[in-house]
This record gives sequence, C-alpha cells and structure tokens, in this order.
Amino acid sequence: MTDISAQPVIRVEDLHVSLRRRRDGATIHAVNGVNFSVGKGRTLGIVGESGCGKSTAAMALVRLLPKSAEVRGAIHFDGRDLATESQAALRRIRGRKIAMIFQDPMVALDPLFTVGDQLAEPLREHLDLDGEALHARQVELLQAVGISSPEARLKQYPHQMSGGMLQRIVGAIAIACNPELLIADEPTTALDPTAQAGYLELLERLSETYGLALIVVTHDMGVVSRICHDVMVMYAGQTVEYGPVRAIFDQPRHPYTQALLASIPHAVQPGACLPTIEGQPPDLAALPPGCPFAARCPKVVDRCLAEAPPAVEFAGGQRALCWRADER
Amino acid sequence: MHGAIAPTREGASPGRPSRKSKWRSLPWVAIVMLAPVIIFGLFGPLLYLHDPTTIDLLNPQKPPAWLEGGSAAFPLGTDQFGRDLLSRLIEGARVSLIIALGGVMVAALIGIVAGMASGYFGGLVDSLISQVVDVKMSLPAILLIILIGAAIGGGMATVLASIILLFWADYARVIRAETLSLRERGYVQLAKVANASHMRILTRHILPNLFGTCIVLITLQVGRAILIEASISFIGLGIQPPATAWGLMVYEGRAYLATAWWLPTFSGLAITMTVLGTNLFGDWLRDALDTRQSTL
Amino acid sequence: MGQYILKRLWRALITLIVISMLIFVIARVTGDPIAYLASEDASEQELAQVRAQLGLDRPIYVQYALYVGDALRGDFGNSLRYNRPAFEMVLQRLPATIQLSLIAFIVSTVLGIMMGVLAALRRDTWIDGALRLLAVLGQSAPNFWIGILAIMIFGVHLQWLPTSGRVGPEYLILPALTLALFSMASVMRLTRSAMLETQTQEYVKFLRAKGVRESQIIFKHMLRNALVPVLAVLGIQLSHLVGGTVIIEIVFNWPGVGRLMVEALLNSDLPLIQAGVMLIAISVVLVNLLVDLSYGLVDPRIRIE
Repeated sequence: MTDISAQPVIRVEDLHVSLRRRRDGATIHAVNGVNFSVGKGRTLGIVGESGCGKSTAAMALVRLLPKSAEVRGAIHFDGRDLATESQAALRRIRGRKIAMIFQDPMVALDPLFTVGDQLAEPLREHLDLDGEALHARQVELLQAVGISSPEARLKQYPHQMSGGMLQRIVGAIAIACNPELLIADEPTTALDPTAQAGYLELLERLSETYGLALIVVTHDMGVVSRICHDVMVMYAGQTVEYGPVRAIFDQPRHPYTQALLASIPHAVQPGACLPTIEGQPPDLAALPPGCPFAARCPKVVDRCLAEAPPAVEFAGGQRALCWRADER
Repeated sequence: MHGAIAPTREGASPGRPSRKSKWRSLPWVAIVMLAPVIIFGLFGPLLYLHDPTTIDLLNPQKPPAWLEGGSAAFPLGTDQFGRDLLSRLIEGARVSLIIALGGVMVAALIGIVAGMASGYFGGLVDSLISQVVDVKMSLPAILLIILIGAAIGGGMATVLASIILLFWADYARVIRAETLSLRERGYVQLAKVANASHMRILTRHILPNLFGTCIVLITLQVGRAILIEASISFIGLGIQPPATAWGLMVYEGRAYLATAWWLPTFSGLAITMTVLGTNLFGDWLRDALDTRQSTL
Repeated sequence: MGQYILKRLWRALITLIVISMLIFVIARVTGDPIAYLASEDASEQELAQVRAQLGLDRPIYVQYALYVGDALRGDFGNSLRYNRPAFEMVLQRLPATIQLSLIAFIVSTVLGIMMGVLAALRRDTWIDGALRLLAVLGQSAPNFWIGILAIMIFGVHLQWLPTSGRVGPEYLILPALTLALFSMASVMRLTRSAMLETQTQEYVKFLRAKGVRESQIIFKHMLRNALVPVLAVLGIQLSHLVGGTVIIEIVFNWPGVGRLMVEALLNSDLPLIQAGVMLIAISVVLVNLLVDLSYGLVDPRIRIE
C-alpha cells in the first residue's frame, strides 16, 4: 500500500456482501463497502471483533459463500474481476492462485484419508502431478513448513497428529501450487501460545521466500503488530480505519481503533482496570443510518448519528472513517 | 450441485420459532391421525355402531358403504361372520393402545430406573447393568420373541412380555448417558455437598431433566410396540381369537383377499395410520424439545 | 484394531452362550420331555428308567454341558412333529431364508444409501420431501400388510408377479422388496442426516478452498464420512431383517426357516425350536461380526489406535 507504483496482487473496490438469514429470511449486510489492496510480499491484517464481517469479507474474495449470498463490487485479481467470474473459473483459482487456511486444524482435514492423500489433491487437480514428481513435491512442501520425517508423516492420518503440526500441514497444502495470495482466517487462534509464535514465524518466512501476498484475518492486535505491514480495522461490515501498522499503532485516528488498542492487556498499567468498550455491535440486518459505531462511541456528536462519515486521508496512506478523525 | 456451505456464524443467532407460527408449527397431520385412535381407545364401547363380537350370519362379507352391495349401516363392510368392520377396528384400537402403552410404560419404568442407577452410581452397579444391556442389545429381536413364545406359549402375556423385554434396554442406554452428563452439572454437585440423599438428588434434580428425552422415546416406542403386537398377532402367537386385534384381523382377512379385500386392507391401514401418527409426532416432539439424542 | 476385533469376538461368544442357556432353561422348564418319549401308561419306575437313560437325573450343569456337546455336533434331537432330525430340517430350509434376507439386505442398503444421498443433495426440494415421506411411511406400515397389498395388486389384479412359493428367480421379487422396505427407509433417513451433517463440517470448506471438484467432494469425502454411522447400524438392520423374514415367509409362503419356526412354536415342537434358534443366532452373530470388522476397515480412527 505504501509502494504505489507496484501493481497490487489483489485490489478490492467497494465490496458489499449480503447473506440471507436462514431462520426468518432477513437480509444480513455482512460487508458494507470495503476497499483494500495487498502487494506482492506484503501482509495485510484484517482485524475486528466477532461478527464484524472480516471472515465474510475474506471468504468473499474467493466466493466461498452460501448460495444465498450476494456479492457486489469489484475484486481485481490477475487481470480479472473475481466478483463476476463463474464458479467454475473460481474453482480453478482456489487452491491454485489464491489459497485459504482456516482456524481449527483439527477439523480442517478429512479424518478418513491420509495427510499425504489430502496434500496430493490440489497437486493433482491444478498441476496434474503424478507418481514420482508428485511424491517429491509433497516431501518438498512438508520440509518447507518445517515438518521432520516427511515420508512417514505422509502416510499418517490427521488424528495421529497434534494441532500445531496439522496447521503446518494445512499451510503446506495451501502453498502447494505456489499461489500468489494466501488468506489466513484466524490461523493461530486454535493453537497453544508456543505453537502460535512458531506459526506466525512460518507465515512470515513463506511470504518472504515465495513473495506471497498474505491476508491475515484476526481479532488479535498482537498478531497484527507481529507480522502485518498494513492493517484494516473493521466494524459492522465497514472499514473504519486502514493503513500501515506502525502509523495506526502510533496514532490511531478512529475512536474504535483507539479503544481496541487501549484494551490490549500489555497497554494497561498493572493494577489498573482493563478498559472495555460498552454496548453491543448493531444488528447487521437493521443497520442504523450514519456511523455504525455511533451508539458506542465516546466521541459521538449529533452528526455521527445522521450522516455516514467520509474517509479522511492522512500522511503515509492512513485513512479513517470518522467525522472527528483529524482531532487529536 | 453447487457448493452450499453453512454461512459464517457472524451475525446469525440460533433460531426460535416466532410467536405467530407457534400454532402453525404443531404437527397437525400427526394429530389428525392420532386423534381418532386415542378417542376410540378411550371411549370405544360408547362409539360402536354394532357390537363387534355379535355374529350376524345374515350379512357376511358385505363391501364398504360406497361400493355396490354395501350399506350405510356397515360403513366399512363386514367380515365373514357378519361383524361390522368399523366397530371391530374401534375395538382393536382399544386393545392395541392399551397393550402398547402398558408395555411401553413398564419397559420405560424398568429402563429408566436401570439407566439412572447405572449412570448415577457407576462402578459395579454400572458394570453389571451395562453388561446385561449389552447382551440384550446383541440378541436379535426375533430370537427374543421366539424364546418368549417357547416359554409362555401364545396370548397377550407373550405380547406384553415381548414389548417389555425388547424395549427396556433402549431406555436404559439413553437414560444412562443423560444421567452421566447430568451428574456432573453444577446443581447436582451442590446438592451433594449439601449432603442431600441420593434419592433426593435423583428425584429432584436428575429425573426432571430426563423428562424431555423420556417423552420422545415413549412416543416413538408406542408406535413400534403397536407394530410388534400386530406382527406377533399376525403370526398367531399374540392376541388369540375371538378377541379383537388389528394384527389378527389382517391375518384373518388374508384368506379373503380376493373376495373381501376390505378386511385386511382397512385393518392394516389402521395400524399404519396410528404408527405413522406416533412417528410424526415423536419426530416433531424431538425437534421441539431439542433433545440432543440422535439415537432416538 | 486387534483389541477391537477381540472385543467383538468376545461379545459374539457371550451372546451365543446366553442364547443357548436360555433355550436350555426354557426347554427344561416347559415340560417333561419324557412324556413324549415313553408310552402313555408307563409306570413311575419305567419313567425313572428312561430318565436315567437320557441323563435327566444328572445335575443341571452336567445336563447343560451334555446339551452343548450335542449341539456342537449338530444333534438337537428329532422334531416332535415330523420325527426327523431337527438340525437337518432347519439346515435344509436355511438357504432359502439366507437367500431372501441377503437380497433384501443388499437392496435395502444400496437403495437406501442412494435415496439418502439424493435427498441430502436435493434438500428441501420436492424430491427430498417425497423421499422423506416414503421413508416415514416405510417405517410405519406393517410389512405383512404391505406384503398382502402387494399380493393383491401385483398378484391378483395385475397378475404380473408370482406370490407364493419359491420356484424361480421371479418368485423372489415381491418377498424381497417387501422385506427390504422397512430397512430401506431406516437406511435412507440415516444416510440423509449423515450427509447433511458432513455438509457442515470444516473439512468440506477447506476442500472447496483447495479447488477440489464438487463431485469429488461429495462422493470421495462426504459420502465416505456419511457411511461411517450408517455402517454402524447395519448390524441392527440385519436383526430387523431376520425378524421380518419370519413374517414375510408366512405371507408369501416362502419355504424358509422362519415359517418352520412359527409352525414349531405353535406346535410346541421344542427340538425344532432349539435347532432353529441356535442356527439363526449363529448366522446373525457371524454377519454382525463381519459388519463390525468392515467398520474398522473403513474408519482409520478405529483401525489405528
């Protein structure tokens, strides 16, 4: 994002995603006008609380949404607009040019098939590999993600491995066909702290080695500060702040970002109360006019309730959607 | 065959039927099917058109009222002895219902007590009871029935014994599992600390929470029990003539397939409707009470 | 897997022992076998002699041991009614019953799974609704009634198929289909719910993210996972089928063990009952073992502890 001359790997323009709620058919506006881009070798963190739409936005990039979902906007990738491509075309992109990994490695793999079999699937499907070449590539991949005795591991079943190891295998499957973009949805949330650090390191290394563009969806600001170059803060389906991690951590412009950063336990003095954000996020099926955060915002003014705030640009590529963004 | 994935849980909350549709969500089909059976079961003798046991040799094998030769006096026709089919079906409803309900209740009683004891006390008691349940489960139903038939001979006792011995273990298994999980709940632990007696804990804290599961199981079992009774009577080992039972009526009617088809047809239809009613109702009940037992 | 097999074998053995004991006890309790063997006006002395001859004055566990010994050699005595070796009579009828239940088993399993998969893939469409209705009807209608209706419609009115006896392959059609109905319904419902369950599993999401073809996801992954719980209940299905065979054999006059058993029960023909029960028990236990073994083969979590 800071290097404007380089063509981004993926550029999302005004993305809207609405879902149909099964129980009563109401329309949920999960994502409401999101814009971002990620360059080669760069890592973008998408952060927000549960229900803010970050996972939906991530899955929308490869259109891994339920049949009833509606996607509007543009997703520019590889010279095409993924928002309008057919499911058949998208299937060829998934796993091949854009890979995705999810939160819980223990359930990510089919328990009835070997790890090797499931690693081979994208290789067979997208690269048409077979026999010796296939096997060699499998071993190479396991080694790349730091798994010892790869030959033995290939023949094992998921239930025979630990969470940390499984998540590495999931990573190996993801990079199997040398994708340009890797989307990781809460990749370390289900891992224990030691494994978490190791995994983030792995993601960083992969990104550097293969020039992988990386999108990490997380609720943990710590993860963002650790490996992300840029960050997008989401709330109620909208971007509220966006920009380089350093800049946003140094000087958050949106009250929500400020509150998020203030609530990190590290930021709080020992003995002091842990600050929280009062209230609940709005119902995505019935969004109020104006700024979605207005109801809980400590800096709210009348204008916030009536009009949706514009994007206010700052130096270094930072922008915040707030009527009072430029106040200190 | 498009990809249909469960939507991300963001923004969605577990559903409860809205107020308006509470009446609509009742299983009307099941209720419509069961209502006549229950009414006949309760008020049977008051509703007979004719005495089901009176033999009337002037009117043998009359067809149902809407066919040629039939009359409104005998809406569903008569059997080979001139007995009104509808009245016999009503009588049969009483018999089937009493036997099925009676048998299932006894089975439930035994099974629930066994299951609770097994789950609550654990240890040797659990071991013993579980072994018995396991052995029973591995016996094919038909063998059990044959053994009972060999021991007792035919008659209502055989039917009742079969129902009880076939079904008690289903309750034991399910109740044991539920009791095991309930035993670890907070309020049970609290009661233990407060030195409540076992009986008190079992009756005040555990039993009420088993209610939902029990009701669903009983409803489904009643249907199965009716099928068992009908099958045993059909073989000739169950209710004996001149008593009336639906299964027996189908068997007797079999000989008249070509000449009086309504005899076996409507008797079997009565069984089917009743069992269908209990199955549909039981399924609805299971969903409504949200019991987590998928093995019901 | 070794442990799993051993446990199953042990369970099978216990089952057979319990059944044999129950039969033995029932036989001894329900009547003095001597009455059949000695002449009507035999004196007490003569009766005592016969008893000693047959070993009926020995302690009960010795009698049981003798009984088991005989049983293992296939000696259950003679049928009281037909005066032929009971074991032989049952063995002679066994192939007919096995044929009927095997065909019904295959039909109900294969068709049940196919319909269940179809219903799951076409969830909430009219196909799903129709199949589910069929399933609940299949579980509610007594099989003897369906059989009788089938005879009326296909046999008496349309005259398409034979309805009595076992002369050629076409005689198998109506009985097998009628017998399969209940099981087919159960298998269909279970397969459908298992398939729907797999649809919400995380690995399906990941498979799509990998770009695996939809057909491969459904038939290689989802179906195989859905079959695991279905396989677990196949043993129970078999039990139901064996029970149903008895009824169907009567309805369609099929010359199998079931019909023989019912006759024997109505005649209190104990040797025949004993022989039949033991043979049925052994067959059922054996097949259950096979099903349990295949279950271990399909699910690696059981195979590899």
